[in-house]
Amino acid sequence: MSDGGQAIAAVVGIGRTAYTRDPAGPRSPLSLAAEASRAAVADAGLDVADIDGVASYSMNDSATFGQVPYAIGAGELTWNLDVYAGGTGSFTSVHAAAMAVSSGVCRYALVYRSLCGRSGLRYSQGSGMASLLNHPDQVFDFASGYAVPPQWFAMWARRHQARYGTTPEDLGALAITLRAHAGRNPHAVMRDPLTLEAYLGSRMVSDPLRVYDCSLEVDGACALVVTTPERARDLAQPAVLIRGGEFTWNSGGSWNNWPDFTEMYTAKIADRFWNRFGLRPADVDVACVYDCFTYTLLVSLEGLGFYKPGEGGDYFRDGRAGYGGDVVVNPHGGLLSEGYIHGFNHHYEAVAQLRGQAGERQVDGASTAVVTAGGGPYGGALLLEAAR
Amino acid sequence: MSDLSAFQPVPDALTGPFWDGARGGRLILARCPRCRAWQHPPLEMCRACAVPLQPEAAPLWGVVYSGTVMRHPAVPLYPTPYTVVIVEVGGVGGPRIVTRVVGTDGDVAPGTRVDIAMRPLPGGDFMVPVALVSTREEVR
Repeated sequence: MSDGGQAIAAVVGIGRTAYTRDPAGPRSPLSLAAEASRAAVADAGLDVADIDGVASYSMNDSATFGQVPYAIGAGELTWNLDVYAGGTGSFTSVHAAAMAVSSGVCRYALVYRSLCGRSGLRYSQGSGMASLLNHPDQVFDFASGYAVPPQWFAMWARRHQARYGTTPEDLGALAITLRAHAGRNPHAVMRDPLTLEAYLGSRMVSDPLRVYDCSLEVDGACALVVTTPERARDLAQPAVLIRGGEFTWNSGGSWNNWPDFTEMYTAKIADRFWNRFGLRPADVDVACVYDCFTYTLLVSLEGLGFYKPGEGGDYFRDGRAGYGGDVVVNPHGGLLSEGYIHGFNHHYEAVAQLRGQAGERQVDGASTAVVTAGGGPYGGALLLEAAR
Repeated sequence: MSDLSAFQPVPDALTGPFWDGARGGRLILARCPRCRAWQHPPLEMCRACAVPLQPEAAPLWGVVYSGTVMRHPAVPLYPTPYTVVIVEVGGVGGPRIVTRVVGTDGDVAPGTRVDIAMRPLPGGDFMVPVALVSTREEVR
């Protein structure tokens, strides 16, 4: 529990679709967004007519703010935001919604992320990147066959390996832990235990990243309703307070020029984040940390100060990131094993845990959670708390 | 996928000097005439000095910052496996370029010194820089 300072907003409703890899019956991102959004509004005990703000983020692969409120029958909006972004948009959209309700430009903000990440545009196969082919920040990379996120994060991981001696077993310890967590999550797509042997024997994608180091691409949508802490008191669910967030951007479009591939955005926000709330990593019960790849998770937790550089493998192997350890990291299984909803499912999980509604995977006494979003140079972290 | 397999650069005012230079065997990068900082990918103006950047021939060698071996065929431009490295041109701290490695499809460790040459981009008449793994010892 933190110093008890003011919250800027509250999450009062959560909703989602099934997450699926089944290409047999793909639905549109709009259909998925509408289902998750209706569920979030209903969860809050609100009517769609109450929604007067909408935000989302995408890379031209989703349903826009104009489509979704129309599809669910919402009325007039007084605020909207469509963010063009990768995973960092999971922070930006929710943080912006918190500021929007806090400042009064809207009362109930719906925030969602919807994508057919499996049956539609797939980042891992380049189809999600096709619009960037001749972008000046990408064209030189494409010409050398360096085009998709697994390749980028492999490049970053290799540098960490060279500096700290990070081993395949270290990265595997993260994948294995998150899979074990997913085993208790009926919503997760990959639930069978992962052994070190199976991990090491799995297909190499880009050295040193194997297939189990990569996000699990799925079709699905997830949504939140955000309002003020005052309004939250009268709604259907126990409120989860958004204490605030910290964000960093200090790099242009080309990640290649980021000075040090052994650290990411979390290294830049850690001091600001912990000092603002008077907390240390040990004070957090649940950490939903953006894990598009195992390496992203390894170095993001490192940057936040959960362990010293190079010690992440041991931290996970020793059970400190699991139940009964220091903090439970991605109890839902994360993007690696629950599914890749572009980080937005991390908010859902944190809220479910802080409400005490996480079922078999409930973290005992969970009252404080950090939710991060981003990879590489830019991203952010939110602090969420159970309302007392 | 079809978009990616048919990939060819469309040179513009900023990227044209790079592609023109590559056809002549040169690595042309944008550089500030005032502060001498390199800028790649190119911009019109120097970020610090706000004066127009000029195309300039960069050294045809560098040091590997990091690298990875592509095994999953995400980009149908080159047959897997192939190795891609980020090279700091002219030595550690130099401007970074992305290149495919010629001479090995195995790991090329950070710190390896490489020479830079131009090779054809499949499917057209463009040339792209590649890294030649030399036998010289690692510089760090």
